[in-house]
Amino acid sequence: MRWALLALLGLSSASWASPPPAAGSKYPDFSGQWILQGPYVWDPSKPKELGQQVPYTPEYQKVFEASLADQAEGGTGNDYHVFCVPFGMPRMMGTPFPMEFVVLPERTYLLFEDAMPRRVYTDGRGFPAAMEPAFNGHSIGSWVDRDGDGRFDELRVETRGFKGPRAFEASGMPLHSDNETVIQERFFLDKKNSDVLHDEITVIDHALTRPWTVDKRYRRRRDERWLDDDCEQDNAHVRIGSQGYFLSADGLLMPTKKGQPPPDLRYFKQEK
Amino acid sequence: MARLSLTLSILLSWAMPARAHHSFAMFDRDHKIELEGTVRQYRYTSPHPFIVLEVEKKDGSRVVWNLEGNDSPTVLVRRGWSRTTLKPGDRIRLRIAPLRSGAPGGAWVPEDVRFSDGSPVVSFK
Repeated sequence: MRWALLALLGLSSASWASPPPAAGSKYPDFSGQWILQGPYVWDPSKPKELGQQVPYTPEYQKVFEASLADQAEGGTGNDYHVFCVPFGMPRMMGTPFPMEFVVLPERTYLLFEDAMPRRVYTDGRGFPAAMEPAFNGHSIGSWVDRDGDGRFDELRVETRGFKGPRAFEASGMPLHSDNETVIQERFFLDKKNSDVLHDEITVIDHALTRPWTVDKRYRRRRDERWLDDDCEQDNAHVRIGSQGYFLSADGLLMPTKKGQPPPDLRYFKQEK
Repeated sequence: MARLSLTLSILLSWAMPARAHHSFAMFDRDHKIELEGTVRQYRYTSPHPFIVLEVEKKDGSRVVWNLEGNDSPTVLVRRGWSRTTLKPGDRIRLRIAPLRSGAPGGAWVPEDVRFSDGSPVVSFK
C-alpha cells in the first residue's frame, strides 16, 4: 500500500526515505520514520486496563469490563483486530508499527506498514455532507504557526465519518457502536527534542462522558527501512459466530478457552 | 513527578518483551511452560511468524505445537531476525505461553527462544 502510494506520487526509489523539507520551507520537518514510544496502552501515562481510568458512561464501562473478563478466560473481548478487522482510528496511532508523513501543500499522507494510509486534506475544504463510513474516517487538517515566526509548527486534524467495530487498544476498550466519534489531533515536534513527535489526541465519543485527551509520543529514526505487514497472510485466529479459535499445526480448529464449544456444524452433512 | 513517571513508563516499555498489536489473551502468559523439540516448519509470515514444533513426550508419543510469535516480522526484522533464522530440523528450546484451553498452541517472544545447546538463535539488537 505504501509503495503504491509513493509510486503514484512520482517519487523515485532513491527517495523512499521522505526527505526533510527544503531550506526556507514553511512546513516543519516531519520526515523520517516515527515509532511509537510505548507502553502500548491508550494513555501511556497510566497503567493498563482499568488503570487507564477511561471516562466511560456506566453502559460502556460494563462493555469494557465484559471485554476484560472475556480476555481473562482466553477470549478476544472487543479486540476484533485479532481477526484482522482494521485498527481504524484512533487505535492505528497506538501500534508498534512505524509511520511516515508525506507533506504536500494541499494534503498530508500518513503512511503505515500495517494499515491503509490516512489522507489529511489541508486545502481548506470542509467535511462532505455525506461521507462513506471508513475505519480510518475522513480527515480535514490545517497547518498552524503557533509562535508567529512565519513557519508552521503544528498540524491540526479533525476526523469523522467512521465505521466499526473499533477499540482504542488490544484490551478491547470500546468506542460507541454508533460510530459518531470525532477525533481531534495536534501533531507537533517536541520543543526540547525535534526527534520526538507528539500527537495529542482528543476523542469525543458517546461512550465517554467527556472528551478524552492523551499525548502519544513517537521517536524518529533516520536509518529508515520500510516493510509490509499484511494481517491476512497467515493469521491463525479464526472467528466463527461469537467464538474465537486458534488453528493447529495441521490447520484444524483448536479451542482457546477451557470448555469452549466447537462451532455449530448443522449445515454440514455428517455421518450418523 | 509526572514527567519522571512518564519517562519511567517509556523506559520500561522499551524493556518490555510484549509488543503485540492485538490481544494475546488466549495465551496464558502467567503460566509459561518450557518446550524442547524439533522445528518442523518456520513460517516468517504476517501478521506473526510461526514455529511448528514437534515435541516428544515422556511416553514416546509426539505432539506437534503451533507456536505464534508475539512480534510481527516487521518488528522482529529490526531486531535481527529473518526468514532464515530457523530451519526445519533445528533443535530448539523455548518458553511459551500456552493456550488457556490446553490445546497444543502457544505464543513466544524472541528472548525466550534458544537452540537446544543453549546458544541464542540471534544476538539481539
